[in-house]
Amino acid sequence: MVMTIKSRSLTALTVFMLGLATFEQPANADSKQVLIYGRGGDSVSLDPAKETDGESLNVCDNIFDTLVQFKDGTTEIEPALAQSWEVSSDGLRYTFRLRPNVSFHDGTPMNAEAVVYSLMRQHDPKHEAYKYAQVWSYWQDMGMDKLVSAIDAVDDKTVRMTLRTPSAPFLANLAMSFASVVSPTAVRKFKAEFARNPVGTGPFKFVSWTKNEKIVLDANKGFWAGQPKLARVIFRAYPDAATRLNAFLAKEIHMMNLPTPDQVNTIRQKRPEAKITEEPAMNVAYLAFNTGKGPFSNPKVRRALNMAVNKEAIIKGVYAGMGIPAVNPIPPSLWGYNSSITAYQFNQTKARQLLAEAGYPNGFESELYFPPVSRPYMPDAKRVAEAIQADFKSVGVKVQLTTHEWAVYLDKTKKGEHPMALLGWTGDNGDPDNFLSVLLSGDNAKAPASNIAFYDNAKVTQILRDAQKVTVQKKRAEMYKQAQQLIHQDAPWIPLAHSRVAMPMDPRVQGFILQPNGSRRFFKVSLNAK
Amino acid sequence: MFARQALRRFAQSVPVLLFLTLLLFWALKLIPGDIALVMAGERATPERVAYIRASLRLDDPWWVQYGLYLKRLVLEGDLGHSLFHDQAISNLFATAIPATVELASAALLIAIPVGLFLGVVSAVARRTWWDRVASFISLTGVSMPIFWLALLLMWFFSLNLGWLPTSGRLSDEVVFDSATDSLFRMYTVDGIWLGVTGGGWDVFLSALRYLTLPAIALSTIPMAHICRMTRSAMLDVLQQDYIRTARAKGVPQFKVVLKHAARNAALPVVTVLFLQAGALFGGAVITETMFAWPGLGKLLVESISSRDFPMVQSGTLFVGAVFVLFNLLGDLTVGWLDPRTKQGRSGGGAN
Repeated sequence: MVMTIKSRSLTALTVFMLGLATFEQPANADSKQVLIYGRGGDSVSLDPAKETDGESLNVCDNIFDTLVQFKDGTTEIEPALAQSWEVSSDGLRYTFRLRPNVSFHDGTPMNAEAVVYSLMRQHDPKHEAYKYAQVWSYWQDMGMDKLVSAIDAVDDKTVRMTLRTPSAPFLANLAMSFASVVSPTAVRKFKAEFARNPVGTGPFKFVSWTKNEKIVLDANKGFWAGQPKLARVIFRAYPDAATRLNAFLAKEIHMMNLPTPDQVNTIRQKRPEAKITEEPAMNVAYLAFNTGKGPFSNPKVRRALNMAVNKEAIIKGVYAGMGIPAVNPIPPSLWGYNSSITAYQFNQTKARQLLAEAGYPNGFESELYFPPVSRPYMPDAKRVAEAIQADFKSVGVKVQLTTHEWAVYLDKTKKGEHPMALLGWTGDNGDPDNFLSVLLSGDNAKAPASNIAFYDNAKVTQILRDAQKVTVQKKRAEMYKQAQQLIHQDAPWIPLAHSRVAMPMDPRVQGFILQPNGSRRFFKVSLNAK
Repeated sequence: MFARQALRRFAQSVPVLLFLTLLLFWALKLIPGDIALVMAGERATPERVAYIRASLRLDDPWWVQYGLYLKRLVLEGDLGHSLFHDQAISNLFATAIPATVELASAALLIAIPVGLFLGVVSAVARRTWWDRVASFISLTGVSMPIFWLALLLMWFFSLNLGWLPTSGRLSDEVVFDSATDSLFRMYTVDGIWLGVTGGGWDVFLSALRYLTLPAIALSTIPMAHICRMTRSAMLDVLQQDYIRTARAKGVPQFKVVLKHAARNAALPVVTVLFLQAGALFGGAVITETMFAWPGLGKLLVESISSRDFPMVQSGTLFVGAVFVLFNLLGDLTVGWLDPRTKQGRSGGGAN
């Protein structure tokens, strides 16, 4: 009797499953020009001036435009909502002429007033929309609050921005997402809720957002640069990386954001027809010595340890080949990169000699902090730390590995509690200043510091300060090259790697280009017929 | 009578819940790192951190922050404003809670019948092959890590057989915008509503397909607990004299089990069942993460790691209240099933 109940329920279960299965095949993300993009998390909000995380900005970049933008696949500036611009000879006044006949998705005209509104809401605490964000992150972060003295509408199609000091990276800053032009009408209507009802001029317009599930954008047929080929883009959130991989293998999504190196290999085996584009990312992963602590205050020790680490092995083993060994603090794709510097050769005998010269013939003991999370510049920090631990051990330096929860980790490293720490940086605006000043200027070496090596070379700091004020790029490039030379000699870091970013795609996806700043643009993307 | 009892029990739990929020608030203040750092990440320059802290009023003394939170909660019924998401917590709850309720209900719909069935079978057929199989299933159910089970289910049903989708809640093929068209924020319920009102059954069927794997994964632990409790309770009862008497009278086996034994064995099972339900309705972090199911569990865990105080507070309050509620329901059901406790109560005694 028991038997019959059991087998009957088994039959029922099978019938149920089969019934579900035959009703429709697994969501083949195929119909028409609808592209489904699978990513690791949901957006925080869709106001490009409020957020700093990739998942928010990747969506915003398709809804909004900026005055100037990065040319596809590069960090060069090209016209966008501004057709042209002039810079006064003292470098203090920028005059932008706006593209005519551009409308926001709500039908209102994009004009000088809208540009002023979009930027002043972040700049002026008395502006009516200033209070709609808790934090105008990037405006502050890029120093725009201190740099900009006025933003005026000269006429309906002309905007003038006045700076307090000349600033070389200013134009590149305006190409970043936070400088997007938003519809003032929509901001007035939605107030703080604009962040969930974004209205811009971009190639796609916002349709709907189901929190932690998906965001739907439809083509803006009146887009000023032409009509997008896709009818719809859906951003789906898959918080677990393994699930995201399964969704891609099951053909539920067309693109899979940020796969780990191991997952790329799995995709090559299990879905060999998938296209995988790879690009060097604008980032750097590094080991920072706390130059104020113990043996690490001695440059000889730092140089010795630079020779002790086998970067090639780390890139092969941990990055699965998706990266290149770093020589300098900035990636080679950036202008101003000093290619005449040769890296410290991997040579453990020489490293031991140098350590002996520095007064540590028997090595010493120390601690290495590593981040608890996977970052684009370092997919698996623990394994990187273990590799370094082994390398250091063979030159006599015994290292204990330590990690903390991400918030705690950032807190402790900023306060300088670490003897050595692993961290990295992703560039924002394609300007070397955005790496070198933030990470290695003496101005940022006071706790809580972004220069977690607490490296303070007065000469380097002065060069970096001066370079911000020069507007001739060629001259700036020379200055940054000089700074890199000095940094190389002082060796406050072991520059480890510049990672490559991979994007696995369904073979039907056409026209997608990875951008150096991590932006995801769908304007020129289309889906081939099956 | 029941209503008054229930109200009193619930009122008693209010100070406990508030004390819980205070304890959490204090504990969160003890651990280092704050939301300003989480928001700024690698980019946390000193000015930036100071600016964010000032904007979020994190520099106020903790008791001021807590007092403000409590005042709004008690006087205005306002659950507060999430610092990390920069939106009303009630808005975030409005989508997360129905998602959790839908998943938890589905899991219980699987766990209860399967758990009871396996438990009864293994008790009746003790020390047989059936018993061993049931014990094996329940042991695996408690001990198998959910993330692994989830991957296994996806691998088998989605990648190999192609029967069910890996994750998510609804197909993008269905003409139904979950952000605007959903009345209940539970797509199976929305689907039934649409079907009944003549809108077709495709939303329901799609939602059901997406619900199946996460519900199976989530059901394993409660199912195992129910099964083991049922087995031991049944074994206990089956050895009682009155069962032997019933058997001696010639009552057929299934009648002995289902009529005479089951009701007496039900009491501890019901208690376990409500405890499990209470835990499920508080959200399931791993299942939600693995199956990209936007429920409450993940929201709350994220709020802890991002140091989003108001969110942690209100989340804890909610989860605590749900747990208290289910405990209460469990006690009431036991009282209703067991005439002895009913008598005891009306006689004024404590249970």
